[in-house]
Amino acid sequence: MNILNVPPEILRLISDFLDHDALTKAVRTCKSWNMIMTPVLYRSFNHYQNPSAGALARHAHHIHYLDYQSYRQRDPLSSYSSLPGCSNLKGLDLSFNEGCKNEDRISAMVLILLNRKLLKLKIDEYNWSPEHQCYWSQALSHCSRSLQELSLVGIRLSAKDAQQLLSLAPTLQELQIENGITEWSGSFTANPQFPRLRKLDLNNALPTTADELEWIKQCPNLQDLSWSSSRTKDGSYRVAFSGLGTHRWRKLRSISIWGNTALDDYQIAMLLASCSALKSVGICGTEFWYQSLSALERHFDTLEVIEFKRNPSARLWMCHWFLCRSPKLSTIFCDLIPVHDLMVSHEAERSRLHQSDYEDRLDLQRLQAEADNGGNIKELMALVTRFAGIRDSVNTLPWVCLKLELLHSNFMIPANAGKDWDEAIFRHLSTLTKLKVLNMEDYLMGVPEGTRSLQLNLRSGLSELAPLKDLEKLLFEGTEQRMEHEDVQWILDQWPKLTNITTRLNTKKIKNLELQSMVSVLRDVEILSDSDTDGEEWDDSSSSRGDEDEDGDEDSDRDGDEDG
Amino acid sequence: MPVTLTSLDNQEFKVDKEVAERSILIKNMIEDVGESDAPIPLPNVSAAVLTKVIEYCEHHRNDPVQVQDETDDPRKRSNDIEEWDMKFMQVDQEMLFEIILAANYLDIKPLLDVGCKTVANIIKGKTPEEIRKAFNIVNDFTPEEEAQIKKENEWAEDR
Repeated sequence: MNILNVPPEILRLISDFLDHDALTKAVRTCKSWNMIMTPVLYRSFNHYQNPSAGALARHAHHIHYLDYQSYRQRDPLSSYSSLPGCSNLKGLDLSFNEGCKNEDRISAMVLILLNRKLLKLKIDEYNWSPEHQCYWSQALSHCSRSLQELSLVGIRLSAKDAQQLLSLAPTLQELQIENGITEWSGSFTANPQFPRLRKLDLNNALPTTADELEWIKQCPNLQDLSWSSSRTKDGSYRVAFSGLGTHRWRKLRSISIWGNTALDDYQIAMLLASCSALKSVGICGTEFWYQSLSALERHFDTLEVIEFKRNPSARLWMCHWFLCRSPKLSTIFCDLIPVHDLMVSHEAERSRLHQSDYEDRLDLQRLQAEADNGGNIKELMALVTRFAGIRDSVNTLPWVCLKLELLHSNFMIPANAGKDWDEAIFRHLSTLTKLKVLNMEDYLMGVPEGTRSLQLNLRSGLSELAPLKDLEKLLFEGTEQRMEHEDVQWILDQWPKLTNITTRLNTKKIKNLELQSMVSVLRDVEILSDSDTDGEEWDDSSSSRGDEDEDGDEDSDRDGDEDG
Repeated sequence: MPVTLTSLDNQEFKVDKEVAERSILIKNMIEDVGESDAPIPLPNVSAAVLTKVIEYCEHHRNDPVQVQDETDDPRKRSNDIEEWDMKFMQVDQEMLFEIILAANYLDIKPLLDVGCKTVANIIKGKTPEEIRKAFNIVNDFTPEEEAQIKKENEWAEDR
């Protein structure tokens, strides 16, 4: 028995586990391997890979996943001639910017028409105009009836289009509509059923009345709901949103609410309370006060992912409280975490009191406003009292999130606090032994006046973090964040799995006016010596925005798999 | 309750039903036939290979049943083999392919995957010539043909 007796279907299974590079070698070994593995090689490729037009034409029928935009850009003249060969597509990603002509849209439509077994379709239209509308209406009405994932960005759906969407409802599992001013009205009055829909992402495409929202409630298997709007002033969907909170979401495990400042604390609270056992919550740029917090509390035992940023009326200590209350947490992105008195010193006490006086005053103002709006003052008073107590004790509680794998936040220390403060935070951090990614960049969140960033230095107590043996990635390159060579050296010595550090090194020896220069250190790459660090070197992964998205996606995928 | 399996060379193996049912083929056979003491013939698997397969099933008897992964992103990872499985797969090539074929025939998906990953890991990082050497493959391309294939697929090579 040797590999020549292995039947082709097994060889194909083996080649599923090979990456592109290994496949290019394997297809050159002999004719039979070439026959079997070439289709696998051409099944999919990414933005950076550029098969020639000739190669694509020859292998078009092998392609399962095609990214049309990147393809078009790389070979604009010859591209169309080879495209009709793509008739076995499962995934098609189309993107149209200002440079695109109508022929591009027609070619794209042809592709959609040709591929009757398409499972995933993504259309990004960055240059919408009324005359393009007919293409997208056509595309929707002729698209594969087995479609599972559909993403429409920038396409203004008419009521008729929405009807077309309905015909896809039986198989659709994921639906994303972004920046599509949508005439929900009248389109979904028939109370359509989306029996398989698991994931719904509406971004700037929100229903504005309770009626238009009814169809969302007809998705019995909805697990993942994103609801975002950048039009903060336009609160016309407030009514619709309230409708979400009166439904019982039995299967919903993930909620993401972004930038809906038109909503109020009560509405967010209602939605959170209408779900049972959420695993993932993202609340960003949204009203969030004690009613919401009280509703979120019921999910603390099941929460695995929290994203909590820039919520105007949220209190910073809430982030800290999540760490003390959610034992299953694996990922947290949040604002600054204030650590007023992880260790209670006289100074700490004073600073904490100062802060809580301020918050008490805010709470009172808020209560007054709620009273004016006819809120239930008695209940609110009780919440205010209760949470003030938690606020004052949160710093003395131990962290329970011992499964945390990703921490993206920063710690807020009074500027005049001593070294013992840093050490106390390091001691807490050292309990997070499962941590894989630690991102402490303060760019996004800023450092409030009168506070300073935690410094990852041996001088400030970095050596406490020796137990973080699983750490793979460290980002520490904010406005005030600096490391010394000895710190980086210690990190490389201590954390065997670390593959990526992004930080700024103090390079005092450099004569250059800019004393600090950016250095990214990849494992197995020499730390750039002081004299080499004139220029700036960026690591591919140093964009914090991109990282967030990436991680977020992974999480939602994982949720889906577990439940499926 | 034990189940008796008979190999190609007529050896009998008594294993727990739970262990035997790691094989979907056997599981279905038992379901079809119902409770019975009759040995289950496995005419495609030799005793030596069946011994290995049973060892694997014993070790993984309590694993949760793998949910068929419907996501069709075809590129799978091969660097996530458990330590025990890695050791288990340290056999000569002949046995390796026998195990893969048996896992395919018996329908034991996790074992089939581990086998395929092991072969994939042998292929990875090798030049075509090294792959041929590793598997005793005869090159039936002319140098020109091979050069042309290399050129056509250059886009997919690591740089």
